[in-house]
Amino acid sequence: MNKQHYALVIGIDRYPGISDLHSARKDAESFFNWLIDPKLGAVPRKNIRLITTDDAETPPGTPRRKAKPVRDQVEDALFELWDMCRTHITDEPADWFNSRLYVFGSGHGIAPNPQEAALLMANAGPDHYGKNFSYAKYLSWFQKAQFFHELVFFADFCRERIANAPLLGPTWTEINNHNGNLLTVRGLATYFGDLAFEEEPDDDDTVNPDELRGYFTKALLEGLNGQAIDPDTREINSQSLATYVTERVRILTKHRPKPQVPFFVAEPVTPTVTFRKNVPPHEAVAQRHTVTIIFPPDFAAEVVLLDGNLKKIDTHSAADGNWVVSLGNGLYRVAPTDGENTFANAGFFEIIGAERNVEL
Amino acid sequence: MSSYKKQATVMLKTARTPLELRLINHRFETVAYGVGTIKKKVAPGLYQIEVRSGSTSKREYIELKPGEIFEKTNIDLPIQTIAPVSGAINSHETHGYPTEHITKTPNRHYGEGGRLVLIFRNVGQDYQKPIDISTFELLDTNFKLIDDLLPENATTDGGLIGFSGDANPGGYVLRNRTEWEPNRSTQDKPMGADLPIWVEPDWMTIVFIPNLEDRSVPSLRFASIHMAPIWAGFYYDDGSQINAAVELALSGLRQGRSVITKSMLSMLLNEKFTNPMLGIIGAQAILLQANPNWNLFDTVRRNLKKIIPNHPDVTALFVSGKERRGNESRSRVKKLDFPPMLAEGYRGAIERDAEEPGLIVGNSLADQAASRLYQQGPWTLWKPFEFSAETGIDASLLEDIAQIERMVSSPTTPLTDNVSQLWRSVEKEGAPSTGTLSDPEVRYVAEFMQRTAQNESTQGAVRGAKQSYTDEFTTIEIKTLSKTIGLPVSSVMRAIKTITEQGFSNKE
Repeated sequence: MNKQHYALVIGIDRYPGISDLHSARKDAESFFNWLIDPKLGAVPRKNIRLITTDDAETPPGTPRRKAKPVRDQVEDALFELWDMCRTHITDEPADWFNSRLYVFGSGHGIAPNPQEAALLMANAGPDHYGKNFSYAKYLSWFQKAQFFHELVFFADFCRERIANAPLLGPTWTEINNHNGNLLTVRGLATYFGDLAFEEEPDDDDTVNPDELRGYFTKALLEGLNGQAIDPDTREINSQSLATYVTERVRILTKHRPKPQVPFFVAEPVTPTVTFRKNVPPHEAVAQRHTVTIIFPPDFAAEVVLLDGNLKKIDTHSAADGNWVVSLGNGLYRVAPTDGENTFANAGFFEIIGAERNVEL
Repeated sequence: MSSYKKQATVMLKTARTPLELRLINHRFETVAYGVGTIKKKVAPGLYQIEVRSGSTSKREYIELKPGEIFEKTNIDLPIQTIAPVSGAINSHETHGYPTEHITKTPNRHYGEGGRLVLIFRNVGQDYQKPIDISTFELLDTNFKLIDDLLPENATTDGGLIGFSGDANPGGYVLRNRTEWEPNRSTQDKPMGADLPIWVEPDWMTIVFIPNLEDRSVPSLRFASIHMAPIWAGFYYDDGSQINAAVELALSGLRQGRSVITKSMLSMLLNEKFTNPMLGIIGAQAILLQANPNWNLFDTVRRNLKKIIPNHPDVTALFVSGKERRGNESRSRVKKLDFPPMLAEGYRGAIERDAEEPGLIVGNSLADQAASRLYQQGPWTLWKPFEFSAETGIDASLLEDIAQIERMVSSPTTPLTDNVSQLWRSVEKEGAPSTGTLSDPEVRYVAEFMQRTAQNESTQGAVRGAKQSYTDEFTTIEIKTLSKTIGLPVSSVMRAIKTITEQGFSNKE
């Protein structure tokens, strides 16, 4: 276990003053499950604070003012975490290099300025957008206090510019430590001013509503679970995760008028924060996807499939029908062995995070 | 044996200077980034070229063979603009030339010395659809009606409604009583918005308000504002694409990003003598950069000061620049009693006011609008309110800057005594329920106090020894409070005065 990893996980579905969400709490619970899995996040349960909408405490119809969770709950939980870490590091200073704080939030959010991503608390609403948890302000506090060597903040919420919402940082006394260089990762669901979305049920109800997630969380967990493996190092790190999540969310939201584009900041760029090392080869293999290449009806010639390095993967005769292959995430191209390439997209296609049919 | 493969060379250039370019490899990693151009040697393979403007982007696949030189110029992206500019996919000649005509031919009269032009236009595919401007009105700086903007008084032309009038130099307010239509998030009440507009002597200020396809009335938050000399008017087909560049720069500002290249800046800066708004936007974009070019910034600002010395956005640029550089000296600028039009500039001025109390004139519109701002686009917008410069804190308190500074830095002045009193009442009676306070200034200050009070137990643990709230709070300088809350010093002072005089009875 990563004994000096700590995590605050927040998921808020019920916003009486705004509008309810469907999957924020489940997003948080899914991330929580990743954290406590000994083979994945490997964070001790006692080091995690999970704050979600409590249906008993905030049933439907609760007035805005009484809705929970509120910001003080979040701050108190966060205080418990850094106090635990501080106490341990005081006794075992060498463990500071193994310390990490995760903050994950899913719900409604705002960004009154470009540096900000603030999760709205359940009691927020029009004229009450000051009821928020400011990522930038808390991150800044932790960067000065240096209780954790690594700070990993994920935000699955909108970053709408909303009225002059006060962003009041931690009310803790400012603490300045100088333990060494920190590593910071901020993974935000969207660019400044943009919206983040949840998956929606299919018209034919084939998808279990309980399995629906925010697109960012869905991609984040896919990435952390293995899709974001760097094939060279067999690890999942902040860079490979950022690349995967950004592309995957773009693909997942392609159907929307304005696709969602996540925003990752990793400081410093190197060295990166590593989420998993030495991912077993069988897991890497499992990240391959079944791809069905469908040829135009009148096409029956031989084709070649190229990987991103222009290496030939295989050849196939279109006369034999569709071509089913197993491919990892990446960019590929199908081209006729002879003649002009008249396929859709000139035979290029992307695979990221899921199986797909490629219609040429 | 070497596995060396001869690299490929990629040379990309956009048709419009400010478009962003990315070269993405087969693992979806960005291997080259540029604004306007990219030149890069890369390993042979499959790549994607992404071209982006604001939140609009498109991608194209390419295959690069060993040793290949791949060159593509004139990369373009269909852009939509709010002002009708040549080259944009939603700029129709039927809007462009009438706009030129309206800017040169006044149909209203608001005074002498400058000119104010308001253009409402359809920017969607159905550019002929009716435009409802019944929710709009033009006000003076005291919110007195100047023009109720009746369509019969305007020049109309196929999905475009234009008002143009010579105007006294100074501030104006364009109000939309239904900027946000009723819906669940606004609790079934329409929400209005005010846009400040500044008119400079000998210049015209042109405000383009788009009528978007998915809304029933035009939207101030998506507006574009340009300036032009009165004698020249606005040019639809300006040849240099400068107006399109400005629209793209505004698109960047909407996302809080600076995607302006040196060449674009020089284009903006060269154009500043015929459109100073472009210089203001360019300078603001410099401030958004991680490492601003201060020489360039100062050159722009000085030039702007020469040609539009009274403009609040120029003042805001100056003080924002000082704040960003950590320059503590007091600014010798005209104090701001009217808000800057660019929201970033207004924010910068408010932040600087904490260092230079009085920079934003107490009780003025610039002071009182600060707690009511929407931040929904590049322009300053606030929630309409009852404004009177006569209300607020005693004017005598604000006349002497030195006095204000003494007040905010000394724990023994009447004002900080007020803070002590206030805090004692919180100790005695508990923190206020901030949710019921209707005055946003009061609410922000009270909210800060509430949070500080409620976290006393936590703080006690950190400090190790409990301090009195009062001791702690009075050691917080008002300027710190101002900076923390994000309001001008005089707004904070006014809130404290209100609370100490009326308690927390200022309820909804």
